[in-house]
Amino acid sequence: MKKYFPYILIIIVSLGVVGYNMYNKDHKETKDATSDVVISPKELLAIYERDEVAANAKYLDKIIEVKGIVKEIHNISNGGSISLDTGNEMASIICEFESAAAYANVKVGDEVNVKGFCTGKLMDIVLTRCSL
Amino acid sequence: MYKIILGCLVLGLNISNVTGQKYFTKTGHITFFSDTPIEKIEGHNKSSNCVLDLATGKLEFGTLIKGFQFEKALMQEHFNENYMESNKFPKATFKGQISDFNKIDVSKNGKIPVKVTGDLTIHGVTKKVATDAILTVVNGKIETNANFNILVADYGISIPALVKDQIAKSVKIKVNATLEPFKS
Repeated sequence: MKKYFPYILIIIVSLGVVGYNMYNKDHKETKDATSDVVISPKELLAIYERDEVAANAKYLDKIIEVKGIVKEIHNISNGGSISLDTGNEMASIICEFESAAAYANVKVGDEVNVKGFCTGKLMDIVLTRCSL
Repeated sequence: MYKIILGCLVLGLNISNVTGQKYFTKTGHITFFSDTPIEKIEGHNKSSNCVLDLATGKLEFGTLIKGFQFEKALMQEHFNENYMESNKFPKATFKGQISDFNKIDVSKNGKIPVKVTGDLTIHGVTKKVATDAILTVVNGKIETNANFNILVADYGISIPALVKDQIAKSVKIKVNATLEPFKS
């Protein structure tokens, strides 16, 4: 029995490490990830307005890449968001960033290319954990 | 003649109801807290919608469940997949009424305590909630703040026995949104 003890200890420790890493696993980041979908803000909104349920089935949790003109910038505590113009006054694509530094150089009127996770549509379509 | 004046007055009232009475934001901050001695879990949504109609006192919120960001990826995954089933129920909404909305005066800065009651829909289940809230008028903007607790079980969300000590049965919801006059 005694000769197995080191092996048992190794198994227990490695299970512990695997469990701990799973518990602390990192958020998937959009920065270096490949986009699942590349689409224009206008087209994305049009698809959502046509059939929201179908659009959600297709796009939720996917990394969406949109290129558009910055309409507004909202600085909130710990990060913030920029809205991209869709041509519709009431609905934009809101792109949330985890840190304000990530979009510090962006100004209203700039054309930017943003990647983010699609979380659905309220008045606007919201992408989270975005990167430029 | 007086009919015309009356007509103008009625019209005038209608116009003033349409413009300048609605306040809204698309960047409302809603926080979810689950506190137990073993684990503290909090999620933040910073792109919630809120509309307040000062003419009627109607208050509405909308938020995307997948928009909640957690410190740990695993918490976020469990929140979405195991508990909120956010693919099936992507939104949470609140449609309510401020009971004493007549005392809201946006022309002067200050804090206004109010009572809000309404229907909260989470995970496809709608329940009545009531809470105290504080509205703070700052230079023509209205900051809304409220804290209330809800029971997870009320919304058809069950917590497996295995993690029952890690997840609170009663979770705290904190709402903070700065509303601006709606320009149409």
